[in-house]
Amino acid sequence: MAVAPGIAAQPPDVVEAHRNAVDIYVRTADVTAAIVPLQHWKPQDFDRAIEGLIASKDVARMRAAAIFHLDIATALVGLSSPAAKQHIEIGSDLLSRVRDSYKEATKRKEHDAFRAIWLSVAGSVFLSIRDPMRAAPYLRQAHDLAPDSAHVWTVYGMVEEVDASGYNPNDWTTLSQRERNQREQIIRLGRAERAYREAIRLDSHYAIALIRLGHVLHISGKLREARESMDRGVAEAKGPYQEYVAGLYMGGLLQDQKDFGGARRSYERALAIVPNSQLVVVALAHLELMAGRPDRAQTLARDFAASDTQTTWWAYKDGSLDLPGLQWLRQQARQ
Amino acid sequence: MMRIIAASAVVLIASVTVAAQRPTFRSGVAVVRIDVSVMNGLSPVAGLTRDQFVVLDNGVPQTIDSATLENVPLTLTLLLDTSESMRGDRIAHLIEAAKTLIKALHPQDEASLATFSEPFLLRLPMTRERSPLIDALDRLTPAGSTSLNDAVFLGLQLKPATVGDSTSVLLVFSDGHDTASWLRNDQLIDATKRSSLLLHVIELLPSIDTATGSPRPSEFLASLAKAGGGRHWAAQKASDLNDLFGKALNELRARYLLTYSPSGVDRDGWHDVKVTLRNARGDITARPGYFVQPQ
Repeated sequence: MAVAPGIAAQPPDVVEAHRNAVDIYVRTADVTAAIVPLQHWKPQDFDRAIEGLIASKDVARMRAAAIFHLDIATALVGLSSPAAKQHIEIGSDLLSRVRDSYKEATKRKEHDAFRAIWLSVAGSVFLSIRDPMRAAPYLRQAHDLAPDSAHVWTVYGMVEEVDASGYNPNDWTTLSQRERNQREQIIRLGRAERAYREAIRLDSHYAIALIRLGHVLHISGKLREARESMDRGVAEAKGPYQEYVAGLYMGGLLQDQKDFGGARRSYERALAIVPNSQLVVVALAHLELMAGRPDRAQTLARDFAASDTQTTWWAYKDGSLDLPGLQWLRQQARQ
Repeated sequence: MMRIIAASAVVLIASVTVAAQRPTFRSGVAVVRIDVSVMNGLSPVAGLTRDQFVVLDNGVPQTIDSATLENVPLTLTLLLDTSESMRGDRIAHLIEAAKTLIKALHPQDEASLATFSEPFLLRLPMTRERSPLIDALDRLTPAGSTSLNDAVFLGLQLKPATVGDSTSVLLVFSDGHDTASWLRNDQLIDATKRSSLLLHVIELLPSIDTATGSPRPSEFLASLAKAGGGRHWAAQKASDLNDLFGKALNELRARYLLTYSPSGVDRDGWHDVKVTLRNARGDITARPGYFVQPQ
């Protein structure tokens, strides 16, 4: 949603309401509470509010607003990806305006590092709904701004990994399609592997890159190398997000290696962090079924179906949303 | 030519209760029930006797104890794809087709409604009431990507705790390829074979692409239905859905229940079951086998 230059004074109600919403967001970090006054707004209301914000030249609030709109996009993307894209475009536009306002090179450099994280999160918002085409342009921009960021390389690898999953050689209608899917999947998994290896070269302790490299090697059939990388990733994993991702993917690898006990413990660690994660429930229930415990599989499924909220697991899912990046940005907004 | 499409078998594991009711059980597996549909085009084939069925269990001919044309209630789970690609008239036609099916159920039939895009949602548990199901269907809106495999797996696990005198069916509708599941296709097929639910699949093909021509039905969905003992129908356009949902229900009403006590085969593991007709013509749908967990 581009905002035209040459900004006229805006009606104070829209500008004011938007400023208040940003302030609530900064104060509470609660996007659902902050967005309440704006929930019936039309795109032109947002246009006018953003024009007013840009006219204020309040750089700190513009950056906070960019994070606010990114958080809105994260919440919206499962319901409407076009609406999510609109909010990401608002944020992206605001960050470009902020950069233009900086004259000093050091400030621009600091801002570019910030923008790179913002853009990698923006791309990952679309990865979280398995839309690598929409994600890729943001990741390319992030990469241009921060070519030596392990974080950005990792999300870049995730774009390729998610794209690869769209070429399923076991889901085909013609033999030529199966061959094409096989070929395209191998190409993309190779690119993902190279991106994760680059991230690890830049930061050998980067847990998510180690885990995702392990996963890509696993689905490429390189089980020994996969286990090596996964073990390192699990050892480096800190905090709920990293430990959840480690539990999920290590579980998958161990299950394929027929270590059902190890896989069960790994999935259960992930489930302890996000009890209503659909992916982990399915993974664990499938493991139980294959291990001859169909009653346990049914109980897991019934408990999941009876749980009333999908919100917690949505942010975690398969780890494709850059949650650490989003959490870092939220912290920046508060500061 | 007679064609075996799939099979539907329920294994009754021996228990004190079963033993008391059925003295014929041996070595753990008491009786195998095979749910078989026999169709001649769109019409059910009635009047067949047990002598007209041939059952091979792991290649060994079995003595059929009974063959009855079932008239038991259905326990039907509708599992509908509500992903983003269902926008527009596709979802409207789907809702109408599902409503028509619900209205055509017999009073003693039960139905539940679950949907999936990326998340799986049990919208309504099993009920004999029709209006809550109709209301829930009216509220469906499409959004998000497609976790078909995970949703079907969860649907299979949610089978009613006690089936009793009813036939449990999972009727899956999808219009697209899986984009977000944890389970691979081979894992889901394996899990489906281990389930006792009858699984039918209705697929809505993508719109015709002028560059690539007419889309073809998914091989995977056909294999999935086969593994679940059901059929796979593909609709070229959304307005065909009403007809296909009707065909699915018609098929569910035309089932024979064959029972036999397995003999001459090992108890544990996978049992490949083949059902054919002798001195009769018809299109057979039955589960391809059953699995007995080693003790």
